Amino acid sequence: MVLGIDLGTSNTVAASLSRDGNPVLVPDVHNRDLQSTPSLALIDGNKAYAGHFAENLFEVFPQKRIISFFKRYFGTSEPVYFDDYKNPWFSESIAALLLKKVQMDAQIFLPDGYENVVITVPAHYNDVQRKSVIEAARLADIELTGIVEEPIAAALFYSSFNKKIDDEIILVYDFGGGTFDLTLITKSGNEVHVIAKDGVNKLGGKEFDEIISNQIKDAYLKALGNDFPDDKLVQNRLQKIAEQVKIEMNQLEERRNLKRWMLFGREAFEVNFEYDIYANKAHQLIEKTELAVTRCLRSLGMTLNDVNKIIMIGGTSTSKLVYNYWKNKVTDKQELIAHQPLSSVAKGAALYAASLNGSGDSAGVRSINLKSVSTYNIGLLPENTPANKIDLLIHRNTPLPVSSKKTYRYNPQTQPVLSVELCQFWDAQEEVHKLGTIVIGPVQSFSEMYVDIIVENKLNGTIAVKVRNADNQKEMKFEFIKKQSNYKYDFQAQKSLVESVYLNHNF
Amino acid sequence: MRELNFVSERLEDIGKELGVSAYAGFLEETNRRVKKIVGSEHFYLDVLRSVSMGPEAKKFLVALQESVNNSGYVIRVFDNTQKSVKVFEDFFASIAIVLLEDEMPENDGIVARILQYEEEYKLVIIVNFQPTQDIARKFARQLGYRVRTQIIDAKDAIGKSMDELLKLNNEAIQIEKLKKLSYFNSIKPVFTFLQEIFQTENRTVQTRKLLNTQNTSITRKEEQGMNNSEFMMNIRQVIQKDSSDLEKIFKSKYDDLNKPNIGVFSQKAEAEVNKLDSFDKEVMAEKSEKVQITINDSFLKNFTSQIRNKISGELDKDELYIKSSYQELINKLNAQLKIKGIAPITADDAYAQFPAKVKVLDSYCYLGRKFSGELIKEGPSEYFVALRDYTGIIMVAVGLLAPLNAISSLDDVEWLSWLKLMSKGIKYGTAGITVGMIVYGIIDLRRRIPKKRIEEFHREKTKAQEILAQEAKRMFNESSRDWTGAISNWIREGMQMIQAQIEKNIRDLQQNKAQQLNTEKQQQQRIQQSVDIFQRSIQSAEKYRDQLNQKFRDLVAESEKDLKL
Repeated sequence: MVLGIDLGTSNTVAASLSRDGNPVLVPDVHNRDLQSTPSLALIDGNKAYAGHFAENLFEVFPQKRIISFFKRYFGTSEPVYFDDYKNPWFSESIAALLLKKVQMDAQIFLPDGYENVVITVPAHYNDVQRKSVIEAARLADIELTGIVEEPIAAALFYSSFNKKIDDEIILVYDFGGGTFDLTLITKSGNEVHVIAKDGVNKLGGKEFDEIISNQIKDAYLKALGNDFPDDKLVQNRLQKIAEQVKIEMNQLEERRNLKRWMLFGREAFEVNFEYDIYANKAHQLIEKTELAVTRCLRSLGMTLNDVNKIIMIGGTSTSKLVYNYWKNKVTDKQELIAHQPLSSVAKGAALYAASLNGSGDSAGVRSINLKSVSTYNIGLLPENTPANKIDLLIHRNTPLPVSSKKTYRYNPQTQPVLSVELCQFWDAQEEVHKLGTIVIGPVQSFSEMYVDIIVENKLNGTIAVKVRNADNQKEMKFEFIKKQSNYKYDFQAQKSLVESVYLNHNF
Repeated sequence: MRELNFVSERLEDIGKELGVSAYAGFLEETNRRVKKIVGSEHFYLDVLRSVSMGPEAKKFLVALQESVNNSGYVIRVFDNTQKSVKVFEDFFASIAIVLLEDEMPENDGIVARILQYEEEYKLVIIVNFQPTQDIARKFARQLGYRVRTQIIDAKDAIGKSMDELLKLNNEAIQIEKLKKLSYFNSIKPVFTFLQEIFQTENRTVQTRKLLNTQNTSITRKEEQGMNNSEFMMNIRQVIQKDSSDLEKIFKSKYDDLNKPNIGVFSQKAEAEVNKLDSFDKEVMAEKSEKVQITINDSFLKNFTSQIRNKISGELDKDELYIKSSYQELINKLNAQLKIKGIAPITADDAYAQFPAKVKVLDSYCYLGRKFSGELIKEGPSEYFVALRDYTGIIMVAVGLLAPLNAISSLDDVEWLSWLKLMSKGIKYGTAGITVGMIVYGIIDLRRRIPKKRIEEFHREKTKAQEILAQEAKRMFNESSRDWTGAISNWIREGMQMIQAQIEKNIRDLQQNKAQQLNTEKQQQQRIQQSVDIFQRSIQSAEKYRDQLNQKFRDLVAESEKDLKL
């Protein structure tokens, strides 16, 4: 048996395969109607709650903060939460709580247990973020077989029942709770080729929620003349209401305003959510995704007309506004598919897990030959480089795995260490993710030397670094220093924290 | 509107039942506002107009506003741009009076407002300032089927008071019903609030119930897990392993240091011993040809201090290492204790007095044996002593030459003539031999005396060095033995203290935990009772709400039944 987990920003979904090879969702152990787990956690003393139960706890623990959208903190060195004992919890540890909860569901749901576990990652995740997901699995004691990108998983699921997509260009449009990814894929037999990737960081359902919550805050100010209160209970309630209203607005069949009475503190006021205002702001967000789609296609010399199918996945893709936006963009010959947008990623991950190590043979799942491309440009930035010019080693959208090297001059007499920053970026003029610093030296040498820094972008998107003496090709020791933080991430300490709490005990 | 007093009464009942709900304050405030609404007798009406209202409409509005003074009517004027947010306590008008002047884009804003409150506006009176009613009819059609509209031409409306205006097309009883509906609409949000409050409270009480069940189960589990014997066994094993590893490290360290030839201590001793290159000399009265030699005091002092420093350096290193190892062990143990919720141990609590290094050094770093030797005094004494070496040769030479000299002195013996002849030769040769021997002796002595002097010095130096080496070895060995012993004792004592501290902390924890678990159990029972009571209270409150709902629905139905507009 296998387990595919879509660790989403808003919801986490797990899937496995039935004996006949059909992907099935793993439901909540206590309520089979719940087939996804909200990506939320709440920690109270030595107890932790993850998923649905945590969602309702803000009313019982008004002073507590519900930890949500922690996935956006993957790859950062800052804690996302401090518990009652002032222990710092990192995003990986919170994710581990969720994974443990899903694991418990799977253990009950799958009587034969499972061997291969695959967790999905957004296609735009950089190396550090991918490693955060792997770390979260380690903290949850999950032996991870592999990670796979969400759009690829969705494409695998779609292709499992639609065999007519061979040699077509498919655009997987993944608009989730916190991220937007797009991936261009072609499929031929059991080979899946990723042609290009793109996306927008920090763009998802959360931004749609904010349109609503801002409207509520504005109405509060207008009605009562005060700024919106920022106590935890009110904020949690606001977040929940905003999400509910957003879902309702997204599903409206016609242009209609929604009126809602809001109860905050001792006050009650009525907010009129105007459809046109919401749709207008939502369109601005959807336009950002269109820009990314155009940019990605243009990088390959293509236009939207060259795409045969668009597969829409992710919670935000279920919005009628998003669907209709793209419906107006595609031609009659192009197909816009919104089939199981919330569960296709987890199901695809389960299919991918089954294809690994041949564990899906008995269920009729063929092994999948995945050919992916690098998501980002990868480069090196030596210390004290004028104008911060990055030496580009690997171009984005290069077939994986790929490795490249750059030689640097190093004189131990004049500089004790050679420091070079490892960077990932889409556009060096815009956001550059500095993954960490490669520090070579000090070395016992009196003469100038040449050092090769070799960077490998692996098939799963993670990056490996090697350093060699260019003269004799002997490997050299180096230190990789991640971004400095006031709080040191320590695996053992975080594992102890995760293990020290009673998680969803007896629920 | 006194007939709505029951709303306030029921809300008070609900508030009492829900007690400490998260909405207690809200309910209280809502009730205050309900009382305020109910306590009013005015009839609130909305007048909707364009922001660019013409002079005729303006004049009409001013007259209308003047007419409502002290009439029991209150009018609120909104223009097409105003998007107000309703707060609970605002009156919801059931009648809107639209001042319609022309077919203008501004009218869309007025239409939007009416549609927004289409549930509240039962009647929209369009005061038509146009010569025909075409535009007014068109406007009315945009308002949908839910809103009743009446068009009154401005000429019929101008000069009329509000009461007269309303009664132009409506009977007094209908107007009274519309007034009631305005009050009902103003109160109506209370039912939305109650729905949300009851949903939340029911959800909360269920959550509390589940949490309490969970906490009870955790308490039970913790009670079962209070036996820490297995944990303590593991801790003991960790401590024993660390302590024996630490002891072994020091034993093997000093074994290595003291290894002959290659050990650092041995090499140090050799280096220091080899520094000896002179002696102090003292003339001896009983042996005039010899001097007594001893090692210089400052050398000995320096020698002892070097050995002492070397040992001391190692002891300092040991102290640092041992203390850091000790702290590491404490950290390791504390990490495990933390998982179990046991209070951490501190080095201060589990730290025996460290062995006194000075005591070890003072006890063994001294010279037990002192060297004392003799050397021949330089000068004539050396020659006299050296001459002793020639005693044999002299005796042989004298032994041979003396008989021959005796023979040469015999004059009358014929048969001894050949002897005499030989003795003459000897007589003359003896002088030569004697001179030769003396010359050889002088040359040989001059060559041998310095050599002998060096040999003798080396012999004495070796003796002295042997003594020093033995002393150094003794100092190193004894200090090492004593120190490793002291360290072992200290480690054992420290480990015992750690163990005792952990056991004490576990006992304290168990005591506290038992007390805490008891308190928790009692608290959980109380929570269970309180949750049960609260659940019953919610059920009672829900009954009040249902009564309230029913009565309110009846009142509204009654008012809407014969509403003919």
